[in-house]
Amino acid sequence: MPNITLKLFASLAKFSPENIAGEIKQIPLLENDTINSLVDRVNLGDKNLHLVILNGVYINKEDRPTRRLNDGDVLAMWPPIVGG
Amino acid sequence: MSWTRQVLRINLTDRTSASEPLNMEWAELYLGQRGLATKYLTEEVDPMVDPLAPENSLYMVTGPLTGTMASTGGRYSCVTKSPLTNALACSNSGGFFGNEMKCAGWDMIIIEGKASSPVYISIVNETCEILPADEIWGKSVWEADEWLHTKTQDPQLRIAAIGVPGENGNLYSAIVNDLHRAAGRSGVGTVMGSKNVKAVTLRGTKGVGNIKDPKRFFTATQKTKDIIANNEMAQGLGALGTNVMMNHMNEVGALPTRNWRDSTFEGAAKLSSEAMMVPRESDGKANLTRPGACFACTIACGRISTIDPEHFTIKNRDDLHKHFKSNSGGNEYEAAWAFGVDTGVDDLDAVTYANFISNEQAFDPISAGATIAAAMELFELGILTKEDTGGIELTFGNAEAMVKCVELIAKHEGFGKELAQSSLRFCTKYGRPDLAIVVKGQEFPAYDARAVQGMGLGYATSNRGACHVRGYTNGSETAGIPFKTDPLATEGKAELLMAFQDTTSIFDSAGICTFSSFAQGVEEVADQLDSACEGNWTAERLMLLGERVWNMEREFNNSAGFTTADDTLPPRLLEEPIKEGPAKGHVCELDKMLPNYYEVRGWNSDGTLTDATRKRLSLPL
Repeated sequence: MPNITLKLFASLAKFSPENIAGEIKQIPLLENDTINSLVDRVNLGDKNLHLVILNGVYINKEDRPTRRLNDGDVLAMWPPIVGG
Repeated sequence: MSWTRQVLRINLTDRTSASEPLNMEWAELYLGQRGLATKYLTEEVDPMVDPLAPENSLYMVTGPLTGTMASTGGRYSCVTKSPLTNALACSNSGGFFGNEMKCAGWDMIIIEGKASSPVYISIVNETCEILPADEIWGKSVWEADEWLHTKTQDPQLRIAAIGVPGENGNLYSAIVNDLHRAAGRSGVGTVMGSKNVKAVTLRGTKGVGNIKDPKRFFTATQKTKDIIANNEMAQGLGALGTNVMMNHMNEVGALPTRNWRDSTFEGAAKLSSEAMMVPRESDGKANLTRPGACFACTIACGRISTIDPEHFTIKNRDDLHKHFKSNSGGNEYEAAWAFGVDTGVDDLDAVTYANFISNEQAFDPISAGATIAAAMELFELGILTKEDTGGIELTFGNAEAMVKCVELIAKHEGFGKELAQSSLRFCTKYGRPDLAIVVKGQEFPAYDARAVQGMGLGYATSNRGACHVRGYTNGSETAGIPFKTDPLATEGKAELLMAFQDTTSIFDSAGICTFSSFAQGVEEVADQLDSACEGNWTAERLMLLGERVWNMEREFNNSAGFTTADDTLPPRLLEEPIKEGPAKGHVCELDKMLPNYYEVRGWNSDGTLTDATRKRLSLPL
């Protein structure tokens, strides 16, 4: 079954010894899944997903409704974050 | 206005001190803190001076908003000529030292000359004493802090001190205040040590006032408090600290690893903010106990942490200060990166232990970790041997070896004395200066400039050597703050960097924290300054002031002998492409950005200021 790796960080994550980096889980892909459709399916649609990184590359907000996901993709998400 | 308008000038050679009025003409042009003290430095200190000679001066300085109710108004800076870089040093610290200085009635303390024997400087309101420090010379910052508090019986005494490395010429020694806040970079602690000053203690009871329009100031500061309280990034910083960047930079392939040989680290997750939140098996506690805040700050990005009691660094150790087995200042992103990622060590407790030591003995974790990483590469190449390291198997990823190096740096013993030279001198000694990842002699922080082009331009042009906070374009390039730019693009980065550099100069000169700039803008800063200070303070005036400060710093460095040849990057960043990840195949294309940067700055092609720029910025011709 095709799936992607979903990585949730910072305040999006529930921390546990099993997932020290935040939350990392495999999500089955449905046909024609886009970033937004997957986000809705995992109940994150109401969160401020400021940073969406697909296979290491930033995806603009306007591209997320149409950007298709493929088997093996790594989708990482953060709220607005900053550091030093 | 909220300046006290008083400066304390201390002559250590004569053991005298005197109050003098603040130069208000300079305050109007340079504001306070970074800008103001740098103006004093440029006027009073020969740019060619030996940084460790008595003729170099150390300026400890607040901004007009320090100590007021302005949000994050707790900052102060240490300004001097750096023994690490021979360029300007300007290190910014939080905690509570700055507001105490204001409360004692001083905008700035100027330390000149050299004491004939170890001293500490005690300042209680207008009374300044230069007192013997024999009992605390050779002790750590924490031991000195305890001795001073016990002696004065004043729990509200604020202390800024150096450790053993600073007393012994370690070139990246810091000045630590309030146990784990620091003026960290560029060896400002080394300068303090060269003057035989162990500590400066402050106690002020005058309150902070001189506000031009208190009612308007109250409204302006309340507005900013609300902005910060509702800002998601500020909330994030409080919850997770700066180390929230660890997983992010790793994910985008811009996390410099093992002396910048790689750009992702397989152990990054174990060192992250998220990992700091996970309860341990041994005692059920997480590394992070709670956030920590500075004076007047509601962001609370500081970390207060513990080390796993079962960890090799502290288990069965009777020789350690009690804080090691309790709470102390936890990992910032930079410290976690330098002691962890850069050395290839993925052990969170080892990195936390190293970080505690860097506060205990006051030295820069970035420079320390990066120097150890460079030494590790030399060791793996067979250029450095176990004979050189005193028996340490100095391979990447060896946590015991990393920790041993940090302990020796802290005690300034054995191999630690070699590492105290900093990475450029150390690598040069072994014939490989190219392996020191530095600009102008200062070690790089944790953003791979091959993957984030604007940061490369920032490192090359920062007035204090490689620095990320001077112009944090990474905020835009990878985190989309305040707006997203392409990290791999070179176009537009000169303009972007200049905006970040000049804006940061404003915050650094006002007495407030740069981290508030993620929430409040120059307009809000202007509103607070205009309410507090005499004169007409607008956003436009502040942007010009920021640019003026930047150019004044540049001028000092040029006079100190720096040229365009020094606005460069190590060969690894210019010639060795990233091997994997989204930035695979990229080097830092500095040559595409630097000429444009000089142009937007209004400089000649050799990096010197034009007279037109000097005139426009009211700088001396």
